[in-house]
Order: sequence, then C-alpha cells, then structure tokens
Amino acid sequence: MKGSELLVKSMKREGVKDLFGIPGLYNMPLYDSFIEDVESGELRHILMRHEQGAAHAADGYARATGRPGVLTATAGPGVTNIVTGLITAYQDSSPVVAITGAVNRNAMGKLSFQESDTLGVSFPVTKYAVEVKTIEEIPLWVKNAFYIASTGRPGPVVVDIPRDVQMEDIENVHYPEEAKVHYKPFKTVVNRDLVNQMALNLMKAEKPVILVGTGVAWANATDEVLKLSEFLGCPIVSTLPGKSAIPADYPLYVGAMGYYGRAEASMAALESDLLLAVGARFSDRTFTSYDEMKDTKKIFMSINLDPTDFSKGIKPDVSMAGNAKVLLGELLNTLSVMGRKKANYAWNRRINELKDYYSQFSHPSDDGHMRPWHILKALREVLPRDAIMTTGVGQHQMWAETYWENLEPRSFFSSTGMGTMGFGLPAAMGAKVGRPDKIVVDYDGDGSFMMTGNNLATAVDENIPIIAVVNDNRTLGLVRQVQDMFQNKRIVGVDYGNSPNILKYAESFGADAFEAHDYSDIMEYMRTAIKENVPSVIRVPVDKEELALPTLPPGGKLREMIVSDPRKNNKN
Amino acid sequence: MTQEKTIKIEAYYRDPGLLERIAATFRRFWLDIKWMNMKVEEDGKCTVYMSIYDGSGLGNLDLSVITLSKMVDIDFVEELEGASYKEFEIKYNKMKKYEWGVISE
Repeated sequence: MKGSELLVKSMKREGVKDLFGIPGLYNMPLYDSFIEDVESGELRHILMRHEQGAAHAADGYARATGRPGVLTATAGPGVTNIVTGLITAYQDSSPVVAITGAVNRNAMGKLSFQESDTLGVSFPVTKYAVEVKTIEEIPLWVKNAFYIASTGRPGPVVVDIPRDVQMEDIENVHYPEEAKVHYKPFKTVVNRDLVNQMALNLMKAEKPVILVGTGVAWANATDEVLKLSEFLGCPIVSTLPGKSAIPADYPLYVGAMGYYGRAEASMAALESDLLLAVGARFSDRTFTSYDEMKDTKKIFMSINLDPTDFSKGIKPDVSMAGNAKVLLGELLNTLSVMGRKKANYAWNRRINELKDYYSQFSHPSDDGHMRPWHILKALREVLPRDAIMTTGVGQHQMWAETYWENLEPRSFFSSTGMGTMGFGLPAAMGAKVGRPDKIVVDYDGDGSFMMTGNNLATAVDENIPIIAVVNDNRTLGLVRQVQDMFQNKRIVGVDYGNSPNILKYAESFGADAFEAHDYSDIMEYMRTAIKENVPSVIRVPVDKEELALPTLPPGGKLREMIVSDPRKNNKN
Repeated sequence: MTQEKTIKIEAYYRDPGLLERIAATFRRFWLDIKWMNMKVEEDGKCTVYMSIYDGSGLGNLDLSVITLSKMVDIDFVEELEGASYKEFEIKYNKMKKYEWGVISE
C-alpha cells in the first residue's frame, strides 16, 4: 500500500467524509489515492478557489458540526495561504486538521521548488504541527492530529507529509486504536469546596450576572447555563462568540457585551456585584479596561476549561477548571440542595430599566437609508429558527453582534479573536457542507466579502447553496468610523470606487443575485433564495456614514461608550 | 517583582521544533533566555534547563511558564528556587570555521 493510500484510509478511520482543498505537486499523491472514494461518494472533495478559503471552510464545518474540519494544501504557497485560516481557528478554539504536502525529504532545506518551512510557518498559528518522517508514522499522526485538535481546548493541527513518504510502499500496516502523543487534555476536577463556595456566593449575591463564552457552545452546556440562570433569576450576558450559545429570546439574556456590544449588557456587567464567567476568557474585547472592572469590587468567578486563562487579565476570586457542562451540573446540584433562591427582583428591574433606556438609541429611524438593525430584523422574520449565520469582519459584524437574534446553539459563527476579514463566505460554505439540513447565511460587508468572494465559484460548482447578504457601503466602514469619530475626520485609504458591481460579480460565477431596495425586498429575496436552493447573493446598499454603535474611543472604558451618532445629536 | 526564573522542562523530543516552540513562547511574552542546557535520551525524553529573564519589565514570567506547560510534547515545567548554574567546558582536538558561507580549517 502506498503512503497516500494509507493516509486516506487513516483519515476515513477518523470519520472524515468531507475535505476542502486545492491540489498541487506535493499533495497530488493524496488526490490520486482518493479518486475512487470521491467517485463512490464515500468522500467529498470541495475544490476551493484559494487555500485561505479552504481553511475557513474547514473552520466553519467544525463550528457547525462540532467535529474537526479537514483541509489539504500543497507545499509553498499552498501552505502559506492557509496561515490566516489556521490562526483564525486557533484564536477561536476551532478544531481543524490540515494535511499538507511537502517536498521530498532529500530536497528539504535546499530552496527546492515550492519548498516552505511548513512547521516554522505553522507553529505560531496552530495548536500543533508535525512532520511525518516515515510511512509507518502516517496512521499514528493522523490519529494524533484528530485527538489533539478535538480534545482539551480545540484548535488547528497541521500534519505535513513529504511527497516521497506519500509515494512509498508499505506491506504491514498498523492502525493505532488510541492516540499516542505527549499531550494531556485539560482535566475536569470537581472540588467540593470550590463548588460550595461558588454556590454560596451566587446565593448571597444581589446583582449576579453570568458571562457566557463560546466554551459553553463547545461543551454543549447551554441547558445548564439556562437552568442556573432560571434558578437564580440571574441575567446572562455574553461575549461576541458566546452569542452562539444562548438563544436570543431567552428572557434573561441581555445580549453580547464589550467593545461593540449592547450597552445594557455592558452596563449589567459593570453594575453587577458578582460575575460568573463560563467558558469565557476575560478578553480585552469583552473587558476593554481591566482596571475599570476591578474598580467595581465585584466578585469574579470563572468556570473554564483552560486553567491558564485564570492567569490572564483578571484573576478570579473563585475558579474551577474543567468541562462547563460537568461543573455547572455540580453547581446546580449543590444549589438545589441549598434551596430555591428568591428571584433577584430589584436587580432584574434594573436590567429592564437599562434595556428600556438604551432601546431609544439602538433603533434609529430610517432617515432615507436602510438601517442595519432593521435589515437584521427583516432577516430574522424570514429565516427559520435554526438558520446558521456567519459573518465577515467589519461594521456588519458589529451590527450582527448587537442586533442579530440567533435562536439555537451553534448557529452564529464569526472570526472574533483574530478578526479575519473574508471569513464569512467560506465559513458559511463549510457550515453548509457540514449541516446541509440548515439554511446558512453569510451576513457580510462588501470589503470583507471581496477578500474571499472568489470562493463563490466553488459554491456554484459544488452546489453549496449558501446565501450571502452583502451590506454594500463601498468603504471599510469600521476603520472609516474610527477616522471619522476619533481622528478628526481624517478619512483616508478606506473608500472604494464603483468596482465591482456586486450583482454582476455574483452572476459571473453563476450565483443568483438580488438587489434589495427596501426591507420587504430583503425578505422576498431571502424567501426566493431559500426556495431556489442555489448559491445566492443579496446586495443591500448601506450608507457609508452609518456607524456601528455602541462604540468606544480607542483604548476606552465601557462607561465611555458612545450609544448614538455624535455627529447628529448630543444624546449620549 | 521577580525578574528571572530558572526552570526545568521535561519534554518529548521529536525534532528541533521543540526548542523552536519553547523559545517562541518566551519571545512572544517579550522575555529573554540567559542560558540553557538540554539533553535528549535515546527514547526521546528531553530535559531542558534554562533561565528566563524579564528584561522588558512586562511581568510575564509566570504567565509564560504556565503557557509553556500546556504545549504538546511538554510533560511538565518546574520552577527551581535557589538554583545555581555552573558553566560547562567543551574539549576538542580540531576546529573548522564557517563564516558567512566560507569554510576555513
């Protein structure tokens, strides 16, 4: 058996059914070995138009299914092109396995054609990267890669295999039953004292709040969080990616907090006397000033898989490392033994006051232009409850953070740690391949969409019926608004011209294209796109003067948030 | 604030990438390596002693060590208090010099 055949068999043993990639000289043996699997339908290969898109697609697949997404790329530019996708997955703890081809062993280090130092390039952007040195190692390192990627804090793993190793022959094959690598997934240890202390603090708190992070989604702990919230009458706020874990229509969910988060959510976090973070690190995007948070003198508690997060930013007063589902279950059991906590009526009244107060700023009138809140409301009305939304990065992402109501766990994916423009479309394609039963929408901006828009060709060729809703304002809006608001209106290097025409661009790939002139158009075209079930693009013109609010001055504190357009009035 | 730590790393050596990743961890936290000593056994077991120094004053020593401890191939890291270091001597018979691609005996 050839090394490349062994590679395919090893991947199939890990349950791989879908593979995103682009072939080149050094991963061609792999392609040659899966032809029959592709023809039989046992394996699906999705030929992307750029390797970055392949990495984002694998990432989107992983986020939507909870299983590792797999991609392949050739050496040299193939490998360097996946770097952005790998670090995007790394920052957002998404399990991705990249199988890369490398030059022959005897050619390494000699500036051979398309030779890249794959490990050197990959180490800083992955959870692990390994060079397979002999054919015998292939099954073990494929097994190890999936184990490392999907356990502990999930993340991307690169398995680099020289072409000559793929071309070698082997007679006696040994497939390991278990991974064998010097690596330990984080432990979950139930410490009774800590559980009791957390429970007591929660019972005593008068203004508690739960901060939900994306770790809740990965641990499938949404039910436990909601039960805890109900038991305590405790409001929930989330990080931006943590939105994906909590249904927006849960009555005690206030919204995503942070830099561009909902004002009432950030204020709830500030005014609380206890904050329990679950599956969330205290990132500088959520807590924009650690001093500001520490000054509130509240009790910080944290349940997080990765214990090293307790050493960053804010050190929690009580912390438990481990699986959120398990630890929340223990906490709930302890609380139920302690007795029912009375609802925090005064605190929830205050939360409602905050919601009411800030609602006057969050839904500005149309003013002759379609407004983002209203665009997202129109989409919500027409999309099914379990629709998946991905986003690019930019103003539209912040509008989605504030206004998009995702109603099912694992239905909202965005590049939140890395802030990678171009994530939305290929991630949506990956999500759709992994979950063909779901409607998948890429809510994007023109700047972000154009960075990986060429992959729309793949969506058409491969019949991946995603729907891209492109907010087209012909500018890099988020940068523009910072220049406008905080750099004395010195707007430079952000405004695009008329090229391309987004509709003709989409049509050139064979996608359906729609131009929405009002909210009813958005709903009608979305219904049509769903019905037609083909890749579609809905262009929604947005005024380039539109702001993503709330926002903060660069380096600002949450209390400094700007909630209404300062260019129009002084309501702030 | 402590500015220097001596640590012992027990790890599994597969290739020099291990050292690359260890060094990169400290580089990313703006720390310096003052000295290091490493030995690899035949079974791949690898012990590294090193002194890391916080010249930038950013206070990242503790965080860098705990971050290193969760890296694939690292079994554990120990912080050694009161450690001392004695320079070792290299003996040789002949020297060949390489300088910017030029070899001289």
